[in-house]
Amino acid sequence: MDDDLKPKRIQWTLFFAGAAALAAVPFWLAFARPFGGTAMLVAMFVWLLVYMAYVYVGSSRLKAGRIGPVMKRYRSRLAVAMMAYFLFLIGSLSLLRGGEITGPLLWIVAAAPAIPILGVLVVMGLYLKEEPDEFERMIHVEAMLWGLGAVLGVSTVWGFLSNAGVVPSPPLFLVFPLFCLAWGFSQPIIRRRYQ
Amino acid sequence: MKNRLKVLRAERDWSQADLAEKLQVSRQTINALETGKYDPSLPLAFKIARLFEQPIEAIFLDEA
Repeated sequence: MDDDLKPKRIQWTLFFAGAAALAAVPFWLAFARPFGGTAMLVAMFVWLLVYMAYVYVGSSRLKAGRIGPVMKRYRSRLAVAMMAYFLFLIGSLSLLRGGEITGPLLWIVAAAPAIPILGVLVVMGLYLKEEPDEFERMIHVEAMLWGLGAVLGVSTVWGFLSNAGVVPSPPLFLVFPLFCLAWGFSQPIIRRRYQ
Repeated sequence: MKNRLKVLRAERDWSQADLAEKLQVSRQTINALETGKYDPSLPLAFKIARLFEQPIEAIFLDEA
């Protein structure tokens, strides 16, 4: 009767291995810099589309209809926010490259890519507010705490290392993706404890 | 916290999915409740009590 609840371990493991490999790509792009300028932006955008499609299709298939309406709404909102982020990012970077913008407009253009990311925070908050299943909500809150722990841990260690000049100063814009990764990858571990 | 959810569900011949649908939660939530690894909030406990037409203390066992 409860066979359908038994985790499809191998499929999930493969799915997460694939997601981890894909998630490493932007970090590699940011540090190794195999492309420059516009090619880099196109590469990042293609990566985003591939990653979103992979996670969306893969998790939908593995969960086989177990995704509630609130989670569906969260996923569509998130997709919109991420698309907006890349458009804002491309716009902002190409305007900044011209080097003609100064004064208050420079502040606005430079900070523009952060606006959709703040939107993602709101989307996450709305999900927690709208989720009717208290257990699901608790799992996500716990996973977010793991994300917070990962961010605090990594940035503290990195901070001290960069103080000593061992590593370059931490790229702060990667703090949010790190939070999201730790949030996502901690979920199966948390869920296992309640099985 | 120990509870009689699995027994009550079996008596009615409901699957975990059936109970999940009646309570508007996920099957994983039902599983976590039945194994006693997750204790429901008071509103959810009352909802369960209403569904099974039994008082909360007849469903969830006080071990204190």
